Amino acid sequence: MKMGRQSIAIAICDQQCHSKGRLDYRNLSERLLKSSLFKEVVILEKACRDRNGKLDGLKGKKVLFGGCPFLEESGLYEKTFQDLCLKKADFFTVDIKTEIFDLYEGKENIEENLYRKLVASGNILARREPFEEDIIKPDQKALVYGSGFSGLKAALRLAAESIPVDIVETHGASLSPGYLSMILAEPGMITGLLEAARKAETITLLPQKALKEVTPGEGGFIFRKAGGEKQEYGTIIFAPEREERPAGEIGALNLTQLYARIGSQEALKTGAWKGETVFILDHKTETGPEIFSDAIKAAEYLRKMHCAEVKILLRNARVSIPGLQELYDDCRQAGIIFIKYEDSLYIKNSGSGFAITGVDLQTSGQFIIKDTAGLIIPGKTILSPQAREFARSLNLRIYNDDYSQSDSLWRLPNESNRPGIFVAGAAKGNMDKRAVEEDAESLVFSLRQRLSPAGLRVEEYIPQVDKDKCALCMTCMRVCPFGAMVKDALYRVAKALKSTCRACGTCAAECPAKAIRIRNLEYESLISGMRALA
Amino acid sequence: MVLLIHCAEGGKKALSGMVRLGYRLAGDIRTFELPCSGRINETMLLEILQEDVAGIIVLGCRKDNCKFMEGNLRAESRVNRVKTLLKSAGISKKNVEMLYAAPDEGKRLYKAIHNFYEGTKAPAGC
Repeated sequence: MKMGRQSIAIAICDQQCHSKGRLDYRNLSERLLKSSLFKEVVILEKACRDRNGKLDGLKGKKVLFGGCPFLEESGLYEKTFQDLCLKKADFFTVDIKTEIFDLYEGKENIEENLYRKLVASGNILARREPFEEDIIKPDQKALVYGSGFSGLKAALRLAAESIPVDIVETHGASLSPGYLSMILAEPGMITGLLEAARKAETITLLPQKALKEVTPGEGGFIFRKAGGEKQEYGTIIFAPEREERPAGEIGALNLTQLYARIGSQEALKTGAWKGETVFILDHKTETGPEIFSDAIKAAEYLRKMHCAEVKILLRNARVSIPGLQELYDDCRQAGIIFIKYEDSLYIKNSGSGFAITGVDLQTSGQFIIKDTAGLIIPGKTILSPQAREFARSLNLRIYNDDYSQSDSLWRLPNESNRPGIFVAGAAKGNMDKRAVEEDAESLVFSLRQRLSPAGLRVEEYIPQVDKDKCALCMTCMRVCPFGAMVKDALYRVAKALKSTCRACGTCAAECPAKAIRIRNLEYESLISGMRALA
Repeated sequence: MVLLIHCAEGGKKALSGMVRLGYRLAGDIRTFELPCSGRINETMLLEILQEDVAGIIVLGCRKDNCKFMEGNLRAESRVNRVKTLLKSAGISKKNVEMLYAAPDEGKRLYKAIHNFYEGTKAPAGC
């Protein structure tokens, strides 16, 4: 590749909010010019305010711009870039405030590091190639998998935004016990929502087996319908319902899992668990009547295991069924404490375990458990095998028992590991009625960018596969966290789906044949940048 | 000189979190940004170690919090492989290390970087 050595110009804002006077810029620019990488150095006093045409001489050259984050945030980079009629590959910015002035102390340190950083960035810029920006328009139609409370809520919310929606009915006639719970929804609510969905013009209800297989396509997901015809969706909302629990399980947690959480059965017997042992059952869960019998069974079981003090706290157990009082009494006899609401329970770390305060449902008085060794909060949903199969076919990854990675800092609340597939409802964990409504709102927010009429802008760092080198070993398909690498059947090579790729570079780093190169993030360019620092 | 390769997501934010607490880097710790720490590979690390570099720190997002799902874990396994290679070749002067940090862990991050830096300066037999 030809190195455009003499053509790089550099513009540095010497204001840097508080860097003025801390640096000898004349010395720096002389040194930069000597490095034979830069042809021109422009020092701006305040890049954010007045430029006085100083940058006009940089038109049509490769420009490296050193500035502060404000320039990026306020769109001034964008403006400069347009003013100078530059191609995107010819414009490179370095945040010298955060990366230099904030990080180092002392004039000498700053000067040396700034020089190195600029040379390193210049080296990368010199190797950058021009590229055409690509815009993909995903299909405007959305598919909602699941006709439960959250699935229907989400579909209706999307229909209100006039997005056409297909719903896959996963449920059939019977409703899961969750819908009897007062916390989740009143009885009959699902039926009402279903009726509303049937009436809506933009919503189509499909039977569960209507869609056969799915193949990822550019800008969407292509399903084969039962009849053989193809249907494309721009986005999928994965909102399956929780499975009905088989009798004898404690909430969503059966006794085998209970052992696993305690450590072992022996730990209870030998008293390796000091203090009181507290089990909180059915945390934040939609409950059915069988939770009472489950709790009694659990209490008996744990007592049998010679665990001297077992307290079971059962919360959110408000089920609208006849004979509720008797059930409560049975449980109380078994030593189960009912707690009023979720919000009234406080759990803090104490000396050797946890301290818990809460409000008893019967007496409305406060109870305090000072020290507990064990605390078990079950309540993860189990999805039906069909839903899990569907998730597998979509390449969705379970992350901390959760399809949505909701605890990650970097994601929107509904994002899954795959761009274009969003997660709602039970697949994110258990939710109450209000949370489901909020979830549907946030879903619309997350979807807005995906289905915007302007289309999706494809990033410059899309992996490109060298046809001659690729041996189709499928390493890239295996390692891609987003399922963006697919087999190009025509050319027998791997290829990246532009709408799905997030440009992390994992495939390029893993490819044994070094067949994948990521434009403007290549090995040579990175190495030359790093070498310049050394 | 120590090269600190950090990702553009958690690693970058962790560094600015560190700065916000008033910690500064030593002059010859130089930073280099990658979109994800998973972009590094063994060849890259070894090639840089051939230069006048005493050590490389790879700084990624906190575990379970990687924007690219598991880039940081991949980076760690590669760093470990390079470590093993260096050890088996009997090179103790140069070192590589994988660090994870969240934006609120400035103090811990500073200590980790500082310890590594001091470690590279300490005389070691080859």
